[in-house]
Amino acid sequence: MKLYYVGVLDNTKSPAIQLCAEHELSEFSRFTRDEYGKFMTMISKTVAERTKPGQRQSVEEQDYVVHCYARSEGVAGVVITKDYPHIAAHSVLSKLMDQFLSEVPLSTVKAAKNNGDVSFPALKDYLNNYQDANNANSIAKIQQELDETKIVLHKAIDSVLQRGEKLDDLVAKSSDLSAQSKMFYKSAKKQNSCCLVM
Amino acid sequence: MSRAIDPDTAAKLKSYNLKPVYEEVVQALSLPTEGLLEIEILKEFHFPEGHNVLKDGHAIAVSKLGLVQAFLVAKSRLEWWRMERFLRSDDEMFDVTFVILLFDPEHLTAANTRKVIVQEQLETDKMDPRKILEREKRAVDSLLTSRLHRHTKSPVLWSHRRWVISQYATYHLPVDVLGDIKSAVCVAGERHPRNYYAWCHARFLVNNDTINNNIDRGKLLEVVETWCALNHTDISGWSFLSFLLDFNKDVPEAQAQNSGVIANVLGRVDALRLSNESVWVFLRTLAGAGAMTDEAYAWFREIQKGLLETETTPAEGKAVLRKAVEWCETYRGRN
Repeated sequence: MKLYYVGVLDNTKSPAIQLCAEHELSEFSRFTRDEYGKFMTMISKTVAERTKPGQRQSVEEQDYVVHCYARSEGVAGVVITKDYPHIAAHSVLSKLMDQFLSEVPLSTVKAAKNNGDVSFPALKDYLNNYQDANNANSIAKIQQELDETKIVLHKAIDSVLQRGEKLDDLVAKSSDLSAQSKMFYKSAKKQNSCCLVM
Repeated sequence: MSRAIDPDTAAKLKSYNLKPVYEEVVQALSLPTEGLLEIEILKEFHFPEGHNVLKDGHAIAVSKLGLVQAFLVAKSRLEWWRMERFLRSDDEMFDVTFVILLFDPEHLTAANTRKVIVQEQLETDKMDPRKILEREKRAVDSLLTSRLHRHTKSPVLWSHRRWVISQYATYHLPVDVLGDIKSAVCVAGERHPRNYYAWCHARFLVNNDTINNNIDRGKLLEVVETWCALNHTDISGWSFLSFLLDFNKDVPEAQAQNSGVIANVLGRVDALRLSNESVWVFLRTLAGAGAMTDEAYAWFREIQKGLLETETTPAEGKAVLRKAVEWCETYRGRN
């Protein structure tokens, strides 16, 4: 159970702007964790751009899930998790977006031009406090209006993309990824069939 | 990273002077006086031109090409050593065998060579046995806990660790069973899910009467329960927790400890609406074996019913839940 990334993005622009974000990358090796961090930024933007105002999505890709909650104000919260119940992830997103919009003026959001242009220190607390999904349970109890059936679930990131688009193409075009990151993406292999039974 | 060598790498192997690469790799892999190495193997594009190693404190990255080159040197030195033992010192052979095991964790000869050298050092009485074994444990733990997919679940390496621990028993040295489970088993279990060998090693540590006489059952249950909560789709962790609940269950505090663990797990499953097979196999096994009180079993059935009625429980989760109930109805009451 892991919460790797918490971020808030302006998804009215294309590409989206990562206003603020925090990463928990200790699971990854020392010399590759930066690459994973960059991919998370890229994937967050990809999903946020394709989430309509008021919509919630959870996109599964291999072991990871990207959860996105887009608000009608033109900002979207994204968390990236593993083995983390979807309802808990969206509860965290609900609380996060309520707090963000109450503390950060929309004028500040709209003035942002680059990744990291908005300061929101509370984001680190979200990453630390909700590593265990059980801690999100208290939010779920308060937020009775969260209807899990309304969360759009995608089994692969390709299903979020437009017809003819592939993740490989987005990686190749992404300005968030360095040449080394793109090579790392090609070389990284997933141990898909390992240890499924025992 | 696999052992397969692509044609480009194979071509480079023929043209290189291998010994400087071996020296570079061995220098980087020298064990610190405390703590473990964190080793990873990466493709060449991560490294500056002409370098095969990256180092940041205890974190070491070795290029795959560099490792293959170093392995070829190490392999030939091992072969010479086996013919003429005096050619290399013990420290050199530790370096040789470490490189070999880094390239191939199933290289039994390399592992057994280390056993031979350690055994000889222990028998000479010139060195402190504790220091000899501590060093060897840190070497094997560095391989077992690094982010190396084949090493974390290597039967040869886990068997080697078992041998090292048995030497602790032979020389009447204490083993921190709880510490070893936290630092080696739990870490390797997280790096490589469903890690049969890691959790088998944990059973060995707990069951070994000559080393486990100070074991704190309550603390161990707490550590493993927390691990299982955060890795709730890992059947190996849950199986070990089930084993622990049965371990020393006749001590006075065991019943309260067990009830506490079961209540915590049921509470978490209920709160997070977990329906994965691993946690439900754990619960149904306990329920079927009569390890749950009637109250806990009633709660178990209530959670199961609630999840089956929840629209968003996945279809495969519902199948797991139904099987869990069938299991209990078949086996509960037979014990």
